[in-house]
Formats: sequence, C-alpha cells, structure tokens
Amino acid sequence: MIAADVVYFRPDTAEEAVDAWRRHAGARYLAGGTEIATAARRTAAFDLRACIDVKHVPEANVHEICGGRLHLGAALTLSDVAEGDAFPLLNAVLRGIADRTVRNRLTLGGNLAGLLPYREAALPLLLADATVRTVAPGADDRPPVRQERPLRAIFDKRLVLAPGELVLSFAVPLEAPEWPWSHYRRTRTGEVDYPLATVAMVHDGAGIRFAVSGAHPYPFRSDAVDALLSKDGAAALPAVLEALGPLRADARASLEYRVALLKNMIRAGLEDLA
Amino acid sequence: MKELSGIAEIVLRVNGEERRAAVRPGDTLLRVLREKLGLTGAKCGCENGDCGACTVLLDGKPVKSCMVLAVECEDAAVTTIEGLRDHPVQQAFAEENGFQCGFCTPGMILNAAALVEAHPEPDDAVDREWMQSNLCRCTGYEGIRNALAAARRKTAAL
Repeated sequence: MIAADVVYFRPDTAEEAVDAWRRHAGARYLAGGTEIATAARRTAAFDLRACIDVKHVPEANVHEICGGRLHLGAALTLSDVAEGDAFPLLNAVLRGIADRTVRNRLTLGGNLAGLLPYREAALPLLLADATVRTVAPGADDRPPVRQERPLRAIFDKRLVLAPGELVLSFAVPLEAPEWPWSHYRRTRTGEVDYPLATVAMVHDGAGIRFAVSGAHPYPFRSDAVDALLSKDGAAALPAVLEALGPLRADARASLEYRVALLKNMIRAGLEDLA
Repeated sequence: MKELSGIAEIVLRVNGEERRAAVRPGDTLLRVLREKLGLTGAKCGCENGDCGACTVLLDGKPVKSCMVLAVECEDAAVTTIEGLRDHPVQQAFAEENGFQCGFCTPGMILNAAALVEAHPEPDDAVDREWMQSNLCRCTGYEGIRNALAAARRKTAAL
C-alpha cells in the first residue's frame, strides 16, 4: 500500500481530467497504474499526492481506423493493442514489454510517458511518423487546449509535455503498418526482462527507417541514421554507431557487448528487409 | 467526476458478491483483499509486479493485484482463488502435483484458469507467454506444465 495520503479522481471526460489537474497541481495521470502503484509504494521520493484515473476518458480508449489512419488510445492496455491485427510491428514490440499480466494493465501512453527509460512502444510509432493528440489545461481560466502534433516533434528522450498535458491518443497513417518490418530484442536473462537492445526497422518503399532502445539510453530515431542505412546498408555500420552517440553500459551488459549485439541486429534487420 | 480522499467506503464485486470496504485511495487491491476482506488467497510476494503471487482476475483478465489500486476496481468483477470452487484447473493442479510450497499456487491457478478459458486449445507459445507472468521459487514448473495440460483435458471433456 502507498504510505502517502492520496486524492483519487475519476473523470469521465478529458476536460474533467485537466480540470482536476489544475485543482491539484502535481497530480499524476493514472491509466494502468503499474508504475505509479509500485514506485509510490517503494519510496517516498516518488511524490504522489493526487492521481487522476483517465481509464474512463472515451478519447483515451479509441481503437479504430478512421480517416485513413489507425487511432490508438493512450489508455489502451498493451494486451488490448497487441491482440489487434492492424499494426504487426507494434504488436511484436509490445509483446516483449514486461509480462502478460502486467501488459493486461500497462497502457500505451503509460509506456511512453513512464519513468523507465526503455519506452519500447515508442519505436514503431516513431518509425510510422505517428501523431499525438493531447489536451492541456488552458492558461488562467481559459478552456483546455487540444493539439495534435507529430510524435517526433515532442519526443526527445521522452515525451516532452506541458504541465498537466494529457496524452489522449496516437494516430498512424494506414500505409505504415503495411511496410515490411523487422524487430529484434535481446535480454540478459529470460524473455521477461529489460532489453539489452531492441531494434525495430521498416522499409517505407523509399528507404530504411531505424529505431533503437535498450542499447541506446533512450528510444532513438534520426533521419541521419535512416539515410546512412538506406544508402550504404551494413557498410554504414561504423557511421551509424558514431551517429547514435554514447550507448548504454551498465550491470546488465558492457558497452562492447551491446555494440556487438547492435551490429548483429542491424545486419539481421537489413537482411530481413532486403 | 468521482473524487475520493481520506478514508472512503467503496463497493467491490468480489467472487460474485458485493463487498464493502473502508479504504484509503492509496491502498492496493492486494492489501484490501487480504486485510479488509479477509481473502488471503492472493499472496504478497514481491509487491513489485514481478512474481505473480498476487494474481487475481479483473473482468476475467489476470492482473497483479499489487499494481492495482482498490479504488480503480469499483466497476470491475474481481475473482480471487477463493472464488474458484473445485475448478478443473484446481483439480488438475492437485492431481498433477502442480505445486511444492504452494505460495505461488493461487496466482498460477488463476492465470492458468484465464489462459484455458481464452485458449482452450494447447499452444506452447501462448502458454509460455501467459505463464511467464508467474514465478515459482521452488522451480516446480514441470508439475505446473503437466497440470495445465491436464486442466485442458478436463475442460474439453466437460
């Protein structure tokens, strides 16, 4: 149980959610709650005074094809998303995150906005040039501000959101899930573990798109790396590694091991997409 | 918009019955089941979402009750091991010795029951994906695997 006295809100609309946040600045949005419940129980350093349960906000639960795009609500659980057949690469990536019963609670938005650095669900969305719909409290007494922006424009190591801004859903163009794809994930111990490296790649018809997490300190995609791999394939590996910048080294795996792993994964991915 | 603070009374539907409990919003479902409702079948293992000993079913889906706040569950049907009465999966675990110390067993059985319900036909990849959510510190996995197979046979014969 969580030691702190917490105020719990259960809004029915996005507007109610941001209104609750405005009344309790510092409140946290809760959907699956897997990270909030465990982090707040473990340490008082995780400040939790109020949580706003957004599971019942309809816009955060969309799961539909509309207007030539696949819309995925931020409050959908990873299991719910992975059981669909609309985005095979996303399904493959989601099935590697945590374990099945955790995925029955952990949400798409929670994976991207959480504290853990891996945020693997971001990889297919970054590759697909997804957009993000959000709602944020208006300044002073103005009404809430709704926006839709490219994920890549607001993803810098993590989702960069305004105070109180709530992610409602993601949208990807329908052609993106049809692209040939490749996904590799390696862990140190069993399949249920944090990734040493996760690589996701697609061929969009014009060239390769590449995204990585685990080996990299945060989910990473760049046009420069895409261009290198599209132009020179595996021959570009030294330049790709340089463009990626410092890779992760920790108790799970050394830098050298992760570099070797990453090279093998990229080669395998390029072969898959050839 | 619902708002709860301090100590609030909530109504949970547990094992088909309406149960009232006075809870703090920060109380996990696991602690409320065990300490407010006397349902001690769900076990406190890691309380970190790793071991699966606290697994219960929420609307038929297995979840780790240490990661769920009780106040989130007012609209859901909660099933604990006490809610399974001589279920084919329970029979199979007993007959196939699908346990050793028994601490992980309630969580294993609930996850297996949901698995057999969702996937009546055996599929090694699916079984592995689902059952990886639960750890047995006694490493009694062979008995558990045999119990799962036996549970499917029993369910198919019904």
